[in-house]
Amino acid sequence: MPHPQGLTAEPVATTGIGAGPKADLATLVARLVLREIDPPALDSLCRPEILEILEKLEPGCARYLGGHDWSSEDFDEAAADYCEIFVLSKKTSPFASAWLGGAPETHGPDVARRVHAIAAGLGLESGAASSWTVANLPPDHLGVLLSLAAEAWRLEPAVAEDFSSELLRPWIPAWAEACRASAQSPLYRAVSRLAAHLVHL
Amino acid sequence: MADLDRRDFLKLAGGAAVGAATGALSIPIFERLAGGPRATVASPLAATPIDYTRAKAIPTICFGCTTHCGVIGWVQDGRVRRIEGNPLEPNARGKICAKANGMIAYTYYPQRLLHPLRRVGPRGSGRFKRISWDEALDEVAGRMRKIREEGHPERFIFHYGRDKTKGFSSRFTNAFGTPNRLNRRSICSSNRRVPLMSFYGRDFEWESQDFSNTRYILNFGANPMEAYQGGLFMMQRIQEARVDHGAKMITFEVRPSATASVSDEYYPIMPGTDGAVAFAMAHVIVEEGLVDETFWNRWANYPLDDLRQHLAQYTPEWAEKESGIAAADIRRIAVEFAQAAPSCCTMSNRGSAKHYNGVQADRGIRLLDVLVGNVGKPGGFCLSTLRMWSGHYGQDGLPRISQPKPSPPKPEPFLPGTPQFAELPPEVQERVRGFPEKWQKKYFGELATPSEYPLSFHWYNMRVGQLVQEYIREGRAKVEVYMSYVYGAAYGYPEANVAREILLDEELIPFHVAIDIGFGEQTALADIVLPEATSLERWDAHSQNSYGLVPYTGIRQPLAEPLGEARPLQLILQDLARRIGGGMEQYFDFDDIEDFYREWYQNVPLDWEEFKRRGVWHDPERPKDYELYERPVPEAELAGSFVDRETQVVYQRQAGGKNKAVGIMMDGKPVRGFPTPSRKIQIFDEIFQEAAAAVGLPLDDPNASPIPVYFQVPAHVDLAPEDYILTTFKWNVHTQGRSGHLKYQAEIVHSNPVLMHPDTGRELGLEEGDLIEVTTYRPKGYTYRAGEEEPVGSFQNRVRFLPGIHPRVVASSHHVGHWEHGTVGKGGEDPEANEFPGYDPALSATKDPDLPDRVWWSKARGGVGGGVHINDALPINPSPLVGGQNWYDNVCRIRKV
Repeated sequence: MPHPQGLTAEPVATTGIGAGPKADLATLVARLVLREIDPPALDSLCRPEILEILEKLEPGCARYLGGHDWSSEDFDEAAADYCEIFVLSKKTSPFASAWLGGAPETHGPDVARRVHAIAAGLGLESGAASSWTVANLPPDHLGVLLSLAAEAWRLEPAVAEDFSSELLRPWIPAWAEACRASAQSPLYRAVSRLAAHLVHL
Repeated sequence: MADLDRRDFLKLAGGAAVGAATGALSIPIFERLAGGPRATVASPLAATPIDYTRAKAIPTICFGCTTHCGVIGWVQDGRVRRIEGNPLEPNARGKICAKANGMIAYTYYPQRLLHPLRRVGPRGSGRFKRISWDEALDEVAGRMRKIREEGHPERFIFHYGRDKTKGFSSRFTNAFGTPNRLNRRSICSSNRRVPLMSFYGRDFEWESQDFSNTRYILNFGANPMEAYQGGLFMMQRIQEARVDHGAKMITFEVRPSATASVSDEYYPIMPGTDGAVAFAMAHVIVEEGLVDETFWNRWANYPLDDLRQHLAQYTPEWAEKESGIAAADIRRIAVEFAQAAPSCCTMSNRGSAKHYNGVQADRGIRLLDVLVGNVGKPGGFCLSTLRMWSGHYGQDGLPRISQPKPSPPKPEPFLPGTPQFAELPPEVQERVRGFPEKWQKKYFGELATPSEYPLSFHWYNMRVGQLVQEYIREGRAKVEVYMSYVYGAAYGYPEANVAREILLDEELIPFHVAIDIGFGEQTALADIVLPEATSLERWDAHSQNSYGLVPYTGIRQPLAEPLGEARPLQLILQDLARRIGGGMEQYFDFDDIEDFYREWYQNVPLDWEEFKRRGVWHDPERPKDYELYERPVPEAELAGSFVDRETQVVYQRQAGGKNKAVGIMMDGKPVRGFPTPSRKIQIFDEIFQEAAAAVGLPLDDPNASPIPVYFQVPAHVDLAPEDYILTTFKWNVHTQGRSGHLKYQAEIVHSNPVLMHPDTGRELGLEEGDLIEVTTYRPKGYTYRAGEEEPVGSFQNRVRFLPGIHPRVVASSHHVGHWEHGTVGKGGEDPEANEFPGYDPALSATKDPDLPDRVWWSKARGGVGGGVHINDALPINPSPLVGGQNWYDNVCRIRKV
């Protein structure tokens, strides 16, 4: 039976990672691409179980994050790294439309339409002003898409799998490769690898 | 990198869940809908056409260039999907160009600025971090408040490239107290405006020729097919006149521009000699007895016999030697032009005016219209009103359209005795002390009113923008806060490297705030970057000279919410004013920006909602602006008036003992005349002598001539055989440096080969496609660094042969060759920036074949690349007295690389 959002509601084979952990991973990546590292985020990232995996994803990441006390200058530098990738994004546009085509330099209306439709089908809408960092962000932003994917995995995993096939998988690996090639920060190289894994889990 | 296994992912997910639970590693974006899931239309991701049953059509005013056509945006789901013309707008009449369509890309391109940024690390390092509006504005306001409280508001500079807020930004700078609201008028048009203002008293934001009814158009270097302010309005009428009643257009131009290509006759002319041809035509018209003596004797302020004597030197044979245009053609065209009078008109622009002799050349061109008496006549050289309607010349009977009150006071001039005057360099103080009182009262320091260029502020304040950076370096003005607003000196100004050097110097520019749409070369040198809403997302008042000759007004209104955190300039300035405080905030006391504009337009006799629905308003019963000068002075203005017996000028007594000229007696009746001091057309204008005397320019220098004269561009005298003249130009799809990063426009034009005549190429031993180096040299005369031997700069680019271009000219456009502005803007010089590595079209949902080739012209993909930046090699070259940049005088040499 067709799904109301136009996605097939058939179960999709995965690598055995449950929907809940996928949602948690998507939430993590969404957080890291939506906002710069702040002290609470740094503390959380320095939890051993996270640091170990980030180090596996990108050698040097553990030392970068946890190897020293962060000064305000360190946070500034991390914010500049973030800005390079996700705000100025000279080679790493975080907007799906830039990669999915249709109207590459225009924040694709088609992606936005799909995001809104899928969200509504899940009983969701974007918050009016979730945070100053995401206010009125175009809905094809990587962080918005991953946030929606996380919600979908929690609410309707089958929808999430199709959502991933349609709106994440076609472009995130390419974006991740561009990000890995240009990111100065080991954290964002790790994040890009994690994002690439996530869409294939 | 080690491969991750299932256990790793689960471990990481567990840690992430803990982090999310604390709020440290999650940002909630989505909320539960009241009422639960909603069934939605099922359709997979695919490019979908606009659904016109749902989309809303909203009129606004385009800002793709300075023509400002009325447009309609189709908006669906909060997003502008399509732009088309607004048939109600009487200038454009429903027609638009590629630049209007480009506004969608301008609004939605992926590398648009969406957040406030603060510099991290050295200025110019390219390292920024995102900050909140509160952080950004608190920092800017704190610095501004300090200098205001210290009594030096003039140390705040607001320098704009494009500001069409119609006075809103000056509301802010006035409220702050700085006179330094700087512009780029000298870069663009001051040489062109001064002859209009000298002759007619106003520049009218250009004359408004009655092209629809004209029979003959004499075009000196204007290019309305591609890049003239108002070009779209003009060309549709010109073409209609040519088709409908056989109007003829003659074009003198150094290269076969698009306008030249649709002209009936095109003459490649030696750069800087348009004036010679115009003066020779004036000579012919006078000698052939083709002058409209009735008109001349009534309205010109100079005796015809004296003019005849003056013009005797300018024979067609002489002009042929100067310009290369055959004397026989000059004679024939002059006669044809005069015989078509009064349904004939001249047209000129940068081609004639952006030369060292351009002001006097354009005075010569303007002379032709007066001689044949076509001024203000059907089919002739007409003047229509401009500015916001507030009782100016030509605005009798129009509703007042003015900003809501209260209005802040204007800054006080830098008179001797003020602290600001005391800070000026001694030689400047001496010059200003020697100014006549009228200029002392208009003097606001060297940035706003450069004392060496009094005609840059005699009529109104045009400034000399290309000297601002240099003046700051010389210490002529002290700067604390420099605010760039959609301003690109670092890329687009002559010797743009000078602007970059100054902007990089933190002692000269301690704090640089850039407000812009995109991250360009200027923005890259800022300390704080503020993202601005585009013209599709904001309000602006609008007025424009009317080629239909019926004044109209329009409204730019937002079609969509600003993307990301971008804000319209008005709200940025309002917020800043409130944070700065100290009384500024009282001028920005509105809660809703739409309410502010509704009040602005309260006198338009149309319901506000209906006005927004139409986008424009004009009075359909109002007669056309023909012969404004013959219209009677309204009775109300004659109350208490008096007539000067010598000049016959009618003055209205004003409070404070000042008298305001409102007309002139003609045949015993008071008529409007022209808004000049004499109320006549000022063929003879002593202001040039007065300005020369004030700055020490010899009174016999031709720039100082009160009567229009021709003289050769000094740098072009005795050109060596190996010298050529480098000229630049604009393409019809680009707008200065503001569009090279927009995909669809860049697809059409993305390179700037050096165009030259095939004969020139043979002379230089070049084949088409050869790489050459163009080296430029300093100008001569009374101008910046004149005569210095060292080259100004050089650039390398490929040759393309262009038959029809003047053989002493090489031409290259200046829109491309960006090193900022993202993927498309850089367009080829950085191979990595040209495509998205790893992109696999097979995975794309839309299988868009365009994407893998998104910058298909890049060198990395075997294309010609993204063009070459040439502006560093173009010398700063302000015209004497006026300061207009002489873009087209550049003497250069060429060598094969």
